[in-house]
Amino acid sequence: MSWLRLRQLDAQLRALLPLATAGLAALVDVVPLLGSGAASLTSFSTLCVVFFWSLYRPDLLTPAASFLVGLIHDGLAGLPLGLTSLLLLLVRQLVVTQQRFFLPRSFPVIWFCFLLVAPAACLARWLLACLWWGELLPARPALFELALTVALYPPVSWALSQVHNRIPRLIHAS
Amino acid sequence: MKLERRSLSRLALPFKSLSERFAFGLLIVLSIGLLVLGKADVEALKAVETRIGDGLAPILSLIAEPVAASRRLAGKAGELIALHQENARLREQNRRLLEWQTVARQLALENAGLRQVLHLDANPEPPTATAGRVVADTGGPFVHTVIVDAGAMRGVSKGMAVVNERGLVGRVTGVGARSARVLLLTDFNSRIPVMVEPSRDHAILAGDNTYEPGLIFLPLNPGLAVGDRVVTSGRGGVLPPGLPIGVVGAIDENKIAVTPFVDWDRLEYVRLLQYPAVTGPEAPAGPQNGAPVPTAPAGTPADEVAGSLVEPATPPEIPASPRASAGVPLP
Repeated sequence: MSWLRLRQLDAQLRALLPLATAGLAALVDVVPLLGSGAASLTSFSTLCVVFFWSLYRPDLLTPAASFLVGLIHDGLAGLPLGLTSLLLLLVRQLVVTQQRFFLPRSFPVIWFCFLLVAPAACLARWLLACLWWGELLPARPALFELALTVALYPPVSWALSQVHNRIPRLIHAS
Repeated sequence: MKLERRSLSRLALPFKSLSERFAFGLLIVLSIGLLVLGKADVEALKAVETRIGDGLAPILSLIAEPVAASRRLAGKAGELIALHQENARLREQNRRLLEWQTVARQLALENAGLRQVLHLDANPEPPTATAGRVVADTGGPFVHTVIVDAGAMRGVSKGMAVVNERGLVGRVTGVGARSARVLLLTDFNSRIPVMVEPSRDHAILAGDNTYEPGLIFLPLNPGLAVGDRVVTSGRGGVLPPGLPIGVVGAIDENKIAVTPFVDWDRLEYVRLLQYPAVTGPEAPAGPQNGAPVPTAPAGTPADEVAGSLVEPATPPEIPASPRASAGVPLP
């Protein structure tokens, strides 16, 4: 195998990193961290990851990839299939359309924007879940999840920026 | 050459954008379609869900192990701090349990004697148990289910009772080859037929996504009190009777809350119990004297029928302390 072929393979594997990190976040979201059932404290770190990659590398986290990650999350979490997929697709589209506004901003501004997007996303998810089950679900756990998700964005963003630096810029489509 | 490539990619940009928009629209429609189909309870979707859990269970096990180890470590550190109080508490508990042991031995002998007199089958077949580790916890705002790393390959089947050392955790609602989904008793979809022990009031334990599920469909004027034990009643035939669930935690106008025995903070390993199926009375080879043969109604376990036959008119009182039971010598 030639050196060029190896480099191409390496670049292709690195291009899969956004999907891989989003998939990993979907797994971490369902790993029992602090407790189970009503005692559990869950985060929606998948949202952080999808937000990050939609902002910096939407070419590598395609709509199909977002859909797939949502499907994995729903399948593992026992949620209605399509619920998280729908939400992640909408968040991705929103961020991609506002990319020109977001990109030149500093981190605190981007975090503030996430602070606006995350509650809207979590509220939409909660409302859809209530509609699907036909029951008013307790809002308190959803608020805890939102707070944890927003607090998680800076460390998740820092970790993903380290990954981002290892992805060749040549794969940029835009 | 470079310029040509650049101009080509520029030309392709609008097409790429168009295809992405098309994919976005298509996937949105697909997501909504999945939600609608899911509501219609399509079996194929359940199979997809089971496959996802099954395929990712080994990876989840890998992630869950270090997390569980760090949780254990943190728990150990906490225990070390409270070692003195814990020791005193355990000594006190040990003293009380020794008293109860004497009572239990006496009652077991008495029970065996009474069963012999009544010609009752002394011991029902013990359940077959499979152990599993909780690898995924979906808690949070919507559903309270966990995924355990034991599936059909290890004899797990739908409807099995899931317990840990403290009591009932939930029941199996979905089974894959290597994993199973357990609906916790706190989930708002969970409905478990239960009995409150001293008063023997039957009710349904309904989860509501809080720490404390509530009792519904109680009989009129139930004789409940805070602290009463709640166990499975076995009605409906899904779960066996007598599995401990919790105690009545609070009674108010809107809700009779039950505090489960299970420590949700430390739910790591569970046992999945398969009880032998209870068969109804066998139908004779042919009709006798032309009369129809009475059979137990569907879903009525025979042990319930037998239980109702030997149930005393007045329910026995369980003493708060073994000392209260007369005639039992205590150390």
